[in-house]
This record gives sequence, C-alpha cells and structure tokens, in this order.
Amino acid sequence: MKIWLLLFGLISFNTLTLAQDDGLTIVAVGEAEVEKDKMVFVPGNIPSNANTSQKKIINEMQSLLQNDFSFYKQYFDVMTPEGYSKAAKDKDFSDLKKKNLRFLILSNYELAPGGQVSVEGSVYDISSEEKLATVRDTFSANNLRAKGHDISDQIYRKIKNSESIFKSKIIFVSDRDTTRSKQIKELYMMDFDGRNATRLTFHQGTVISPALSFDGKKVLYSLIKNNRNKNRNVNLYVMDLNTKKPRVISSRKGINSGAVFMPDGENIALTMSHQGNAEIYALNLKSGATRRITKHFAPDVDPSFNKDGSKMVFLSGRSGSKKPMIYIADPRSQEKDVKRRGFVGDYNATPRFSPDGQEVAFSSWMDGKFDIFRIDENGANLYRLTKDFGSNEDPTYSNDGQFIAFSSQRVLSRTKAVQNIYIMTREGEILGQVTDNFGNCSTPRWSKF
Amino acid sequence: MSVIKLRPFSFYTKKSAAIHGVIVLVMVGLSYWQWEKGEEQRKVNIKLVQSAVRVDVVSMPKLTFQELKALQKAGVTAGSAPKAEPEPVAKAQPAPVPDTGREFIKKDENAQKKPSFADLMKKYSKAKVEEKPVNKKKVATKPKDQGFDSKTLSKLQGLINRGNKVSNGQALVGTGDSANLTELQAYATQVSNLVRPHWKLPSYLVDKELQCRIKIFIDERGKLVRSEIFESSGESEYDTRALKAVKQASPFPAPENLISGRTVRGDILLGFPL
Repeated sequence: MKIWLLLFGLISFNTLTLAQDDGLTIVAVGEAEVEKDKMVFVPGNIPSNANTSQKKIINEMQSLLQNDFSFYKQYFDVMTPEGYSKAAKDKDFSDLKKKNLRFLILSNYELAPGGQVSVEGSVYDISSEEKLATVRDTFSANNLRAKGHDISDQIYRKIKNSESIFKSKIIFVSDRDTTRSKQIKELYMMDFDGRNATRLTFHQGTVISPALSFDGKKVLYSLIKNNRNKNRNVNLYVMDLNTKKPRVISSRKGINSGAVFMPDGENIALTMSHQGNAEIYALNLKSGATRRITKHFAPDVDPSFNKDGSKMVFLSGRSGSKKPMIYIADPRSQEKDVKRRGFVGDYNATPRFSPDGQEVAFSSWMDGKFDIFRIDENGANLYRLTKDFGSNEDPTYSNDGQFIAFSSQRVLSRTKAVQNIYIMTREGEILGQVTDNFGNCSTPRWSKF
Repeated sequence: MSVIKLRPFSFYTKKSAAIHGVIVLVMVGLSYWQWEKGEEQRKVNIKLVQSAVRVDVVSMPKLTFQELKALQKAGVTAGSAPKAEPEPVAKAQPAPVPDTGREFIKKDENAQKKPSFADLMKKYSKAKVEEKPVNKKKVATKPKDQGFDSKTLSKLQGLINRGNKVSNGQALVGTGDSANLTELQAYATQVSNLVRPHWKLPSYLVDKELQCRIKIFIDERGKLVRSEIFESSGESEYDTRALKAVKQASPFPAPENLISGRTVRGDILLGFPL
C-alpha cells in the first residue's frame, strides 16, 4: 500500500512539474531609470536703483548658479527662466507642476552698503509644494565667485543631501610661461569650473606629478630644475598653501616622484629608487622616517589611496609580462593583501581611486593613444570612458566621486599640439573643457574636500 | 450473474509485478525524456556563460560606456521586434557542414582576420555544428539544426553586446535554467524588455521602494488591448508612470498562435520593478 502511494505521489509530482505553466506569468521590468529633475533659477526682485556694476554682478551671480547646477547633468535639467518667471514670482505651483518642474530657486536681491549686493535664495520643491531652504549672503564683485559657489553648495546639500563639487579646486601644471630658450612648467590652482587660476610655484623649472592633500591645505610636487649641474636630480617638494613656501622633502638619488598624500595628512606615499628598484614608500612629513609599502623585484609605482586609507591602488610589473598592471594592497603594512585587479591593456598608467574606494579610473594605451578607463575595486565592470577624443591621461575623481577630470591632448599639426583639462561624468559623458588658452595644461588633481 | 473466479495466487503476483514494471518504466522514461530535454539547454547555457566570460577577459573594451548604453537601448528594441535580426548574426549562421576537414580550413581563415563580433559569433556557431553528429535524429528534423536558432542567437548577441556588464536577472522565481522558459514566459520577457526603456521615475519616487504590478492584455497582432493595475503601489503617480511605460512601449511583437489566447486573456503580469 505504501509503495503504491509513493508511486502515485511520484507520478503526480512529475505531471505537476510538466503542467506548471498554467496561470499568470510574472516578469520583472526592473528598476526605473531616474528621470532628471527639471530645475529653474528665477531672479526675483532686482532693486530698481541698482547701478550698472551692481546690475552686472547680479546677472553674473544668476548665471553662476545656473551654470554650477548644469554640471550635474545626470540629475538636473536646468531650464532657462523664460516661461517660468511669472508663475514663479506668483508662486503658482500648480502651473509649475504642469510644466513638470521639480525645483525652483527664486532669488531676491537687495542693495547693501559699500556697493555690495545681498541675495536671498529660496529653494522650493514643486512636487511637494514646500520650501526646502532659504540661503542668504552678501557679495561684491571681488568675492562673487567664491560666494556664489558657496550658495550653490548650500542649495545642493538641501536638495541632494550630499556634498557638491562647487567649492572644490583643481591643481594642474601649465607651460604658459615657457620661453623659446627655456621650458617652464609651473603649478597652478583653479576653481572646479576653470576660473580663478592662480600660480603656486615660481621655480622656473619643470614641475611634475603634483598632489593635493585630502584636507586641501598642502601640495606635493617633484621638480626638475633647469640649471645644468652634475647633481641634477628629481627632488620632491611640499608646499603649505597658506604660506606658499616650498620645502624639499626628499632628494634621494634616483626617482623621488609620484608622491601622493595619505589621508592622515602626516604621511605621504611615493616612488623611490634609491635602493635600486622603483618601490613605493611611506614617508612621514615631520620626522622624515620612511617605511616600505611594496617589496618586489618588479617595479611598483603610482600609488593612490581611498579616503580612509585602508586601500591603495598601484601599478606593478610583477605579473611577469612587461605590461604594468593594476594591483590593490593594504598600505598599512608591507606587501599586505596584494591583489591583482587588471588583466588587460598594453600599457596602463595612473590608476586613481574614487574617494569612496569603490572604483579606479586609469588611462591605458589603445589604438595609438591613451584613453580613460574605469574598473570596480573588485576587478569587475571594466568600462571604457573616452574614445576619439585626443589622447587622454591623468584621470582624477572629484570630491563627490561623480566626475572625472583628465587632460586631453590634440595634435593640431606636425609640430603643434594642445593639451587641456576636461571634465566628464563618471559614466564618460563629457561636459567640456575647463582650461582654455592657458598654455598646455596637464596632470589635473581634484581636491577631495 | 457473474461469478467471481478465484485465480491462483501466482496470477495476482504476476499481474501486480507487470503493473509495477510498467509504472517504473514510464517513470524512468519520463525522467529520461526530461533530462534529455534539459541537456540541450544546459549545453547552450554553458556556451552562453563561456561567451560572456571570454569577451570579458580577452582585451580592453573597444566600446565606451556611453556607446554600450546606447547599444543596449537600441539592441533591446531592435532585437525584440519581429524579424529584426542584427546584421552580424545573420552572417554568422554557417551552412551546416558535416565535413570536419573543410571546417578546419575555414577556421584557419578566421584566425588571420582581426577578431570582430561577427567572428566571435561564427566561432560559437561552428562549435555547435561540430557537435551535431552526436545529437539524435529528432533534433535533425528541427530547424534548430541550422547553428543556433534565432532566439538563442539574439540572446547571445545581447550578452556579447553587454560585454563586461553584470546585468540584473529578470525571472522572479528561480526556474533553475532557461529550459523551463515556456513560450509565454519568453514572450513576456520580450515584452518587459520593450517596456524597460520607457520605465522612468522622477527622483523623489525612486528612493521610496515602491512596487506595483500591471496586468496586460495583448491581442494576436501584438496590439495592447488593455492594461490594468493588478497590485497598486499606493502612490498614484508611480502607478501612472508604470501604465505610461507600458502604453509607450506598445505595440508589441505579435505573439505566436499557441500563446495568443493567453496573452489576450491577460496572463502576463509586469512587475515594476519586480
């Protein structure tokens, strides 16, 4: 009897699985694509007694706010105020809703003493019809850009609840002072949007591989001096951005370059070859003590750290082939947890961590030029980001990890080429050139604060 | 009046044994048949995985992220529209050549060329041809014999196009392998692929982790007859957006006769997102 039951059970089970496809079939469509939020910046009251220069700075402020938010193409569709002005000023939310508007920033201006202008920006979320924030500040022609970026940043924080790039800086090297007899490459710093470029170094030499500390207070760079003598060497300098005074840190024989700050700000990591073979060392800025991070007969170069300093990405020839490949290690002790992450590419260069340490952007030689690629920290999702866009090198992540700046070189003729700094989203959508007519600009480094 | 004739005990034993035997045979047969059916699909699955992995590791990606994104969108619409086969796929289908010697020469020719997607495709379909003699007669009569059938090919193409991207699964229930994918399920997947590009949300609805399900009714020509909310998300804007996505994606490819009765009855549920 039991056997019969068992047999029948088995048979009915079999037929069940065969007849499974009756009834409803459910398929998943998957996660929705996020629609961009339409936003508009509407100038409210402009005082009628403002003079021409005051009117000018009001207009400039308005376009700065609009321009800042247009960088975040992946989130916002910044509209021109035409067609929204009237409804915005009347606070006619239902009309704005009809136009699918999400954010309205209405700024009212007033004259302040000393030719200054004060601004009050109100941020509205049209979908919930509520006021998210009010931002107030007073500005003049001199501090307009700094104040403007600060206002943008406050608005962004209210809307997205995270940090923005608006107050960040980019340091880079430009050869604009090169004369016919002397090649001069000096270090400059500019706002993220390419404005306010200021010169930092005056060595009359060639500055290479600069780095900015995580708190943005110090820079590191290597210098090749122009005077020829037998002690010519590539030395490493540190500069405090408050005093602008450079100081030599390392003048060991051989290479002293590719230095980057470690997140604590006290230690730096650099490539040195004084022991024969290029290796990565940690160096304490105060005591000058060094500690070896890599130890391998193959060369190890180009370290980059994530924000908490638990991971370091670098290039190494240890795979055996002559091609440098990307590796990740724990920099807190020697040769700890070294893992290979890249397996392809003829010549990989300058791997750079995103601030959160989830992604690595690097340049790689392909079809006769360098292009920017991106790979996840665990070695998955290798993406190409640039193509047919000149030769692209030195990627650097923005402080919020959403953008990558890089230098791109275009050959104009057989003897002429021009190199400029560009910004793209981390998905490779190019936003544009940030340096223009400023000599050849290279090695951008985006601040991480 | 019928008289119950008592038979010897051995008669019943034999009868019982015979019935048992038949049942066991039927069961063995059934499970063998199912296993056999799965075997073919398993081979395809392994190939699909291999093709994905190979494209991954061989070299740096040629296409950029933006291009892949565009391709994926275009691929979804082109791949699922009826009769819209991607060019390289059609070329890659080789005539079934039983002579292995000739095939060998052909392969060498391929090796000299620069490897392209089309060549990759060719390689995989070749491999299938080599296996053909092992397969049984019943397979030989099917159109499947011409390399990979079009469905598998477009699947392959999709995978290769996506290249080094980890994509999200679509099935809600673990069906084990795609052998269990019925006609209707395949068609429903096709429909969901078409709806996906239109499925958009404003950012304020994205983080709320809402879900709704929509029942769709498609007639035999692929026209969307009706769509209704089966399970609401509770947020009317979310439901409207989902309905809008379905409407924008229609008309769909015509379902095959076998399943058109069920599609018009509304047997397909689309889950937003699951």
